[in-house]
Amino acid sequence: MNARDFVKRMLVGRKLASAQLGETLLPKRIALPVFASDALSSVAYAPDEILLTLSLAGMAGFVFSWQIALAVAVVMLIVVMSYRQTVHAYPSGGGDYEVATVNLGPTAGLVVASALLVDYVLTVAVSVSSGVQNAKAMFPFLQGNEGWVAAAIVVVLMSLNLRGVRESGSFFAIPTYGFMIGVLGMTVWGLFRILGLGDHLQAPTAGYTVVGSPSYEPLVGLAAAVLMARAFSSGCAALTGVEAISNGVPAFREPKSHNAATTLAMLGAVAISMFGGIILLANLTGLKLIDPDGGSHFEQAGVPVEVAHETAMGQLARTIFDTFPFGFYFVITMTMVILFLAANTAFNGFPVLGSILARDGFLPKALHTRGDRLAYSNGILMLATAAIALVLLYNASVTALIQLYVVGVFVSFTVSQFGMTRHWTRHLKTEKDPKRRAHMQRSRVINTIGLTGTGVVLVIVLASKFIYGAYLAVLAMAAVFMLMRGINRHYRKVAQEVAVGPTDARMLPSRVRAVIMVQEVNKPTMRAVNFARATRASSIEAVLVSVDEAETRAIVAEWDAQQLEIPLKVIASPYREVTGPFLNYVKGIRSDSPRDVVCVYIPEYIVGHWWEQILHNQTGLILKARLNFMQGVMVTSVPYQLASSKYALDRARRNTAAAWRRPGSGQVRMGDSGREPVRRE
Amino acid sequence: MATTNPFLRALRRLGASNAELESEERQRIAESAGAVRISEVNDRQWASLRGTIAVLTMKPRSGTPWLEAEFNDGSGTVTLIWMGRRAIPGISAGRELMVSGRVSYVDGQRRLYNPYYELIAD
Repeated sequence: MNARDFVKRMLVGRKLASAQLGETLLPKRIALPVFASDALSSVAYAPDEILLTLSLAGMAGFVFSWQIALAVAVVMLIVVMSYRQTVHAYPSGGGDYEVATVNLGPTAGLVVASALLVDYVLTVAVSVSSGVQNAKAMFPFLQGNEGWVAAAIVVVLMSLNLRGVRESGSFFAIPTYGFMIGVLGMTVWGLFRILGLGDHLQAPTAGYTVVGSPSYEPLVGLAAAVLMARAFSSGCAALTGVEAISNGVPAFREPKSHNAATTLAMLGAVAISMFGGIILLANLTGLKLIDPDGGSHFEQAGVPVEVAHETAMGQLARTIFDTFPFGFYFVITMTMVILFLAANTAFNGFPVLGSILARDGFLPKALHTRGDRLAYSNGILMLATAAIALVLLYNASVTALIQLYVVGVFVSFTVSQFGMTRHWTRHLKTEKDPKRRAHMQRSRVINTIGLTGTGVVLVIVLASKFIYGAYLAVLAMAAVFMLMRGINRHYRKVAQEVAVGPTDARMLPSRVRAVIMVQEVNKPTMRAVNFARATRASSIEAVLVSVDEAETRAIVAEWDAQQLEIPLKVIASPYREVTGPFLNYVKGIRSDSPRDVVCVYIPEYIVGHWWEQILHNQTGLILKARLNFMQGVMVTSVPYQLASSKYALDRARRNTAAAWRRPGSGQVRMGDSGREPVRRE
Repeated sequence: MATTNPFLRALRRLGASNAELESEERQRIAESAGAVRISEVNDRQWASLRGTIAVLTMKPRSGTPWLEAEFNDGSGTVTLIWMGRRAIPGISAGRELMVSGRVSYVDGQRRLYNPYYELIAD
């Protein structure tokens, strides 16, 4: 084992066999944290974003926070209800992509897929950024380096996922339940202290006055509506991740659909109560946030003050657990961890979706391949790269990133809800049983409400965020969409081109003419000669391009001395080049008889080091490349392993990364999507 | 090629490929030496040709001694065959020759058996 392998082994771990892919079925109590971490984690930043946006209207804005929270909760309820229908109708775990593809056609599926792919990248960026922002409550020194810290965390997540962290129950369950307990406990304790004990709890920012942006103060008319819409669409970030369960149905225990639906309901209840609790506490403690980029700032007694930004979660934990620091650290730690876990769920979802898309021919086939650790390595690398670029570009600012976010989620919500209504309509056409008809009709109504709800939200989100950054997300989706269409078109065109038609005669070439390229008379050439003779071609000849008169004479003499029983043709090369005359010669014997096949044998030196590769084979490589473009010409490379080739072989034996290059080693595995539960988030 | 306009000829030379120019040049040399163009030789015609050996084939020792060369003058190719010889000193790939003999057509290919040949010094 060399140093590189050691490092890789340490970072990535031992290889896993395909058989170790094992599918573990999850009980509800484990499934909830596994699939809910993304949805719940958004509770950590969605209330912040509502308050931040409202701060643009100064003190007047915060009054509306609970109405907006209510609206978000209603949308969440609608979405959860709608997805409960999806879970029953599509238990295969294809998620929104499958729903859209089946009911609305591949184009709609592709729209959903591109929206989801973009959103996965944003999920990582937003969650990690938010985690870093929360961490600042504990580690103030992070201030100013958020971008780099977030990038480092994405790298850590990437390497964890390259190791192939399965969503092993306990690994997810502890922090997710910890987060639930922390936030709900904080809410209950806070409410008890305020309402029960009558404590006068004040958030650290309660004493400040918020001065908003002039364009939203006073908060009336159109400006008010616009600001409300913006706050609402930022708050809708709380909905991201709700669809995760619908992609994970195969991972549930029997009865799968029923359990998944119940888990979804539980998720909705927990998320709504946590979300509502935070907004409520924020109102009660007088918590305030500002959006410095948007133009709002704090004032104390009429003088602008600079206050280090701290998230709502951080402030609330500090206020409510002012006498109990353990509670504060617990809440903050759990928030941080769950946010990183949420980012991690995207690392599970993106590669799986990518692999499904690759299977359907919308993405390069390499994305369909599992790496050493059974993870879709290429997809993971792509996702990490994109997310790192985003967090560095936006310096891990949740407020900036969230403008790009949510659009994709709601595009996929809306399209899939539309697909679900079509699904029920289609099934109602054939269904006769009145009881099941009634059930289907009820489901269709729910999905129609879902469609209306998510559609309206999508319009609001687009309208209110477009100029603030959503257009970038839309552009990215369009780009991904076009790219996938292009890839698909290419794959289809190639498939059509190479498909075996009924008229393709199984006609054998009338004659095979073997041509051996001779540059020297030595062992590699002899091997080529022997091999060519063994193939029993119709005719066989050796070809030497005469570049140097004296050298040619020597080679011809040597050839003659070897008594090879094969005619040697010496080609004149007036311009001292090898490839040109050789290609001309092959072209000449080609045009003689079009049904003939010419097989060119090129002796090739197999070497152990890259620099040896520069010293050998150059003519052969060029010839090979050029001959491949000629019709009816096959090129056979006859390898001759030089002594140094054993270095390369040893390297390949040691190096697992290069193992796929070893023939027959079976290192490249294709994802078995039939067996693999399609899990997103 | 047929044009006599010097300007047009110059223009054509600019656009012509290396190979075209070369074959033209060689045809000109052949003409000046009083040789017939290979492309214009008929079956059973006695002809004097001037050109170079493009491909020289060395047969294995076991068969009948037989030296075969593809001979090209820029306009076409004729296969020269010397029977009873495995090699002839001075006959090598790329060598310029003046050959004469009776050209025959075999399977649509021109052949010239046992030609008289004259090596032309480089």
